[in-house]
Amino acid sequence: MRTLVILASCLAPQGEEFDRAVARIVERLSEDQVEARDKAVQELIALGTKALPAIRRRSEAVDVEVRERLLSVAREIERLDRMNFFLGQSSRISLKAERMPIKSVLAELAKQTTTPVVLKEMPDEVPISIELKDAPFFHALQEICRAHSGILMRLPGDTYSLEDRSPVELVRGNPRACSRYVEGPFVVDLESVYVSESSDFQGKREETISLNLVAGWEHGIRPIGMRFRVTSVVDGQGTAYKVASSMARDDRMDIYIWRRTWVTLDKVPPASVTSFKEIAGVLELDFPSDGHVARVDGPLGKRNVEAPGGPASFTLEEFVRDGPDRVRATVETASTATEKWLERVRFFAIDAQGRIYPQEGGRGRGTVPGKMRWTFAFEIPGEAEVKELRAVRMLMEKGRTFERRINWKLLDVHFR
Amino acid sequence: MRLSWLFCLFLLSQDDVAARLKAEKWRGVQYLVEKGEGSRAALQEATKGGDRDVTFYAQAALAELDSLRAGGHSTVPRTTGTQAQAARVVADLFKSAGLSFSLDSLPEKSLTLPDGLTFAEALDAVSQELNVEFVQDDKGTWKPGGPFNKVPRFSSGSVRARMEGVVGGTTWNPGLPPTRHLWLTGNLQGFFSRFRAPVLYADLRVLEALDEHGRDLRWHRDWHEDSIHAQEERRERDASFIVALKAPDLKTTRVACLRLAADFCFKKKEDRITFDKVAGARSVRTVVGDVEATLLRAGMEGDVFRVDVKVKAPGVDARIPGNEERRELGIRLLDAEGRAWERSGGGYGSDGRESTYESEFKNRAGAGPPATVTFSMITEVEVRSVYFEFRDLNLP
Repeated sequence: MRTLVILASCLAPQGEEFDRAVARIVERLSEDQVEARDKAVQELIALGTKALPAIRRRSEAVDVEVRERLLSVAREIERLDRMNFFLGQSSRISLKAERMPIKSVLAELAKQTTTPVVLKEMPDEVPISIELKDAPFFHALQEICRAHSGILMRLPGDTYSLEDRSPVELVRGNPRACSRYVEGPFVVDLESVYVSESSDFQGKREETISLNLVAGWEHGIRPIGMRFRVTSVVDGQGTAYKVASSMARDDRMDIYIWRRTWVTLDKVPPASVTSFKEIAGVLELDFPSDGHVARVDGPLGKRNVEAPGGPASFTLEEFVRDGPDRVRATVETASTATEKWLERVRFFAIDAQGRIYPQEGGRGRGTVPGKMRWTFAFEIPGEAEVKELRAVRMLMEKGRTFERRINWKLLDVHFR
Repeated sequence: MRLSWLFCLFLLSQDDVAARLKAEKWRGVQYLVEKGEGSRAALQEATKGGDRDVTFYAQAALAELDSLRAGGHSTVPRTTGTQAQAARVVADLFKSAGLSFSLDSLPEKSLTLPDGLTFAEALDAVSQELNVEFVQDDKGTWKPGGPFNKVPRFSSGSVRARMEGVVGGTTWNPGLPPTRHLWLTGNLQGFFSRFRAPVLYADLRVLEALDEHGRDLRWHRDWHEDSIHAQEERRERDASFIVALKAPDLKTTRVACLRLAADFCFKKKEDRITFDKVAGARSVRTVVGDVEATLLRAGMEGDVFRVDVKVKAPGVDARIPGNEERRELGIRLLDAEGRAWERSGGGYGSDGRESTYESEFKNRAGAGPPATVTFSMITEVEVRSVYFEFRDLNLP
């Protein structure tokens, strides 16, 4: 749906012609057939935020029934627009390098993405020649590694929370031995194959084999839940394996995604097997039904500042440094002590380098009915310049949450 | 008399001690321990000689002498060659060590015990001969328990240890060299009598771990080695342990030499740690005994006075009053007159070496402004070490 919105926005006609196009669709909102009306609604939604002024103008010149439909379309367009904050956008990387050092290539890459990449170990200075056009970010990074031939990427594999900016690391290694699945801004990687052998020193031996898989996504994609399954494993000799057990967490109490899945297979391949022909599965990512963001720029030292943002609105009462590495904030939000944990307002401080600091803990107290005053801290180094205090509130309306399903497949994975 | 004194001096010179330890290994250790305090000076010198084997055996002997000097145990007499019914031989063995035992299910057969074995050697010998493993029950009574395990063993003096299993884990990271980690599990019984005081905590030191190619397998980790578990309640000197090793590549098939020291630690001194002028304090550090305490921050936050304290010491959690389920540092916040603020909440986190306590206080009793933060904990410990080693452990 999101892709459709973006595409339709790009193809939409401009100016008066655009207004006339909107008017033609609006006329179809009065059709007798429900299907025809629904189709018109979808077409209007697909026009995106650019259609909002025309839709609002038209809503004043139509009957009550059509006006209601138009206002409902406007609300949906606004919601989808807000959801861009969570659904993000896939970077499209275009690069042309002729015998360029890796650091310069990465600097070029950094101009086209907000996903951080770090060189964990300084690799050999191999000049890189590469040409990429509109490549997804992870595909581009993989191609850069291959062009260098001495580095490979490692995805951040541990926990993810809403504003996580853990970098993709580039370490020394052979990129041609790696197999990854990239789809838009998402990637699935086999981090390792683990073979465990145990002995009791009396002749009894046992063996198990496990696959450690990691999912990743570009910065700006903000899922709130994830399910990561392996459905098929076939070794290089054509033998299929079943998943005997898996270790993956689906924490729905709060946004705290473990980006790995660890599966143990039902049997250990014989020593002659050195690769998996195919490892396949499903990755499902959940997003909220709606989300709101409110901001205060340059919050340090500011007092009693209103930050509008719908349900995320807050009043910044105080934002002061009270230690060499600590900032204390007091805010008032429209919330109650009994609201759902996933729907509470979350605060993040962002520094001039784009580093994000989530709030630590928080003590809340009711002030007036429907208002809470929160005091919490951020662990921010003294040298960091706080550029923004951001509040994010998600809504989890049943049946309207977004889901992204990715059928992934890794081919020719070598081990041993 | 004069001649024998000179002979003793000759026997216990550094060179002779080193030569004996090099040649006789654990037999040499036991010989020198049985000689008593007279061998201490030469043993101490031997630890500085630079020979890795001699240093290790000299340290092992000194540790046992330390334990004897502290009165933790006494040496068990060596066997005098006996031949009798198994039950009689084993009973005599446990009696000589002062241990309680029950031998109801022991096989009825004649048993010969050679002359001159130390207690641990004798116990292993009868276990093997009778195909019986001797184990302790919950009350510390020794009983026959299952058939003899043909696993790698160590026995010397009054210390016995055995390996129980090994797990080798190989990680194949596509594009990167494979890594191999090893986890060896075992059980240690030392001195075969009871500690006089409860064990506060135990630590395991991997002194040497070499593969068949002479390469170091030690896994240099920066976190606390908490993989040894002493029987705190029973006060028995036994412990299960896990040794974590890392092979440099996949060519390692054997641990040729594994030398370990188990440190059993006991309470020596409890002391008070105090910070003054706490209002607005940040990162104030003090050292009391072997405890490093830091007042991370103290100050008003809303209507509460918050105090964050970090304490760092080996086995830190065991030094704090309470039991394994709940330990409470008991931080107190006092005004200049010694009147207390009331604790209203807090939290705790620990990694075994370092613990952080966050406390909040409210002034409900009309105390003055906060002046002092104070708490008590064990600041000094006494260590009793048991040295042991294994050879030629085959890996899966």
